[in-house]
Amino acid sequence: MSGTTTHQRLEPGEPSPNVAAAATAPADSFWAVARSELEGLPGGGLNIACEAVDRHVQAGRGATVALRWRGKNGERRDFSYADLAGLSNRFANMLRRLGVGKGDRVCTLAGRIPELYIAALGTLKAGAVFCPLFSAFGPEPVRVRLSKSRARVLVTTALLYQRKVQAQRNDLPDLAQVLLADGGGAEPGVHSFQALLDAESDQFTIPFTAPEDWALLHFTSGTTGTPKGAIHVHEAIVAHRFTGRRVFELQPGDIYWCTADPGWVTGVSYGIIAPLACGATLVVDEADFDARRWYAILEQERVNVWYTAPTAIRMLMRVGAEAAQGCDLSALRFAASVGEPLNPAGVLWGQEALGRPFHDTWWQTETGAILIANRLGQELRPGSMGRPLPGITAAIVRRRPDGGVDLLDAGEEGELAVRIGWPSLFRGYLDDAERYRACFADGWYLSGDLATRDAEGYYWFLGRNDDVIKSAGHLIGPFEVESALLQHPAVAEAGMIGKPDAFAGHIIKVFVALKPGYVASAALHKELLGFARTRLGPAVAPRELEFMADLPKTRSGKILRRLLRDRELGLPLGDLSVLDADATPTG
Amino acid sequence: MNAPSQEQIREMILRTLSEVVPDANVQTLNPNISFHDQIELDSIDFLRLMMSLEKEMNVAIFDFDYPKLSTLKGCERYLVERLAVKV
Repeated sequence: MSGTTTHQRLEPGEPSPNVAAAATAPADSFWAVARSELEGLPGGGLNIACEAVDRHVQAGRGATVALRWRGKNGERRDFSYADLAGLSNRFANMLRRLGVGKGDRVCTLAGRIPELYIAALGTLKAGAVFCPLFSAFGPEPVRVRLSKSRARVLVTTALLYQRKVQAQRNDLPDLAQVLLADGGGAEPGVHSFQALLDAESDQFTIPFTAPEDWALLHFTSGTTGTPKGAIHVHEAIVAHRFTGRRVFELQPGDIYWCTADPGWVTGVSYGIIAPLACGATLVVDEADFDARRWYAILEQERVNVWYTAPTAIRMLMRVGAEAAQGCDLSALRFAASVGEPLNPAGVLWGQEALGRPFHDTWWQTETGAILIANRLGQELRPGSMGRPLPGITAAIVRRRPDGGVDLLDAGEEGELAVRIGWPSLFRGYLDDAERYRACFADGWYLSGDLATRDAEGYYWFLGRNDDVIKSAGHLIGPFEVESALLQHPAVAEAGMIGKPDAFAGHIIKVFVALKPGYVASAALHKELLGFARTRLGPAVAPRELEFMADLPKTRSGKILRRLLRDRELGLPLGDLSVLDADATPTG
Repeated sequence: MNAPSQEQIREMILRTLSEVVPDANVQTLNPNISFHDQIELDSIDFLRLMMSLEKEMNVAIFDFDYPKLSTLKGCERYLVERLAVKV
């Protein structure tokens, strides 16, 4: 079951290599049991939105609150499972009326507003592919992702449309319809979300979607090239629901809050799908981080399970554990973290402030669901990712020159790999079979994360084997950032690194060499930072910039970001003969 | 030492904001509407703004008070009060 021969770009409905993998994988029978707990569609079909919403209505739980939305100005709206079923049905009917069908991409570009959740579920019901874009992306990342996904429909707000999309409509020929959550109608092809929804029936029969039909498209970044669109299929719901139950121990009626934004994979897999599939009540807060507000939400909503991220935890730690004193957090049963490794102090701080330690979890956009975690009922090892979940086989490996891998022993440092065969493994990078194939060897998915395993099977993150960085938990690749800077007439070369930051984990720092005739100055410094930020948006913008006469490069001209990073960190630069070597970055 | 004037405080806030958000036209901000609703500012930006203001003004801003500083007017009011206490 080598990934090298079978993994390639697939059209919706084509058989997936993962099916073949699953048929021979030892975990097959395990996942078959997890699959059997799902409702399914007649004829062997499977649909994420049916499992997340409709099955609860059919089981008589339609009155349970599915989504409790708290607006940034104090508004509060509850959507029962029956409400969500009806609204997503309306959205699916609307897509059908707009001619959007199976495999077509529907994007969202919005903050945490109810319309986004309705659009996500309605898109899945219609058999189309849901592709969320982070609202803090600037016009350039938005254009690239809308273009690469060939999105037919975009759900957004008037302000975000005007700021990030409107001027680029001519570059997006596939984008036929824009739906504004708060207006519309001013120009052709731009509609009011609400008006279109109101005109539709709240009854909809989900068309047949096969387990291997495309469902989700999440963009992520590598070292080289434009962002990669990771494709997930409806079968992923098996892992979403399973991990919701086995990691978070979610039961129907539980109150669950995931602070991740649905512009990224966590905010979809665990900010929409998994908790709903478990019948929980999903709390959604529209506002940005605010310590006092967050403690109030935990207390007032009686949150049972909380999933957040190291950046937020570090910001809470800054405020101090005493801030939580006086809040009744007795309902909180489990607190977990994801996005980047949480240091032991953060894990233990949870115990002090919330009465619950943070349980770190590990997964990636490509894995679709949590694969390694510190779980309830097992010893928690602060600073570790935890142990592989049931049904998951992980290993530390070293790539061999012949394309295979060697398995390493406990205590050895290598690349974290996972045996293929779990349901939410991505099925391809959109239009990029080569980069997809490069993720697999000898039947293992190679994560690009460097780690080690201890004698008891706990995994410990060490770093990345490429040049991507995590800033506030978001994966950022150098290509987009450097490309944006290179559009400025003064910039000859640009190199991006992650600079350690007390809160964001890393911030983006760029090194810039100027073209002849341009002189480094405070004014140009500010201009370049502003120039990049205007194009990239706050999520991807460099926050520091340093001028250099020349950037270190290989003989063939590749910028040596590692050298820039080591220099920034004051590390010994070692053997500079690597300047003449052409290392091949992965990803 | 005299406390800085409200005008000077405003200038300082705008200068700091423009360093954190270098692409924003801070001169056109509506002082009564939150920064978030007028310019693109994420949680990390806002934290950097608060920390920079603390440093520039040599004054402690309590984390729980951050929401009071979400508008230009709020920043001015808060810093005027804090600096008055200090003097």
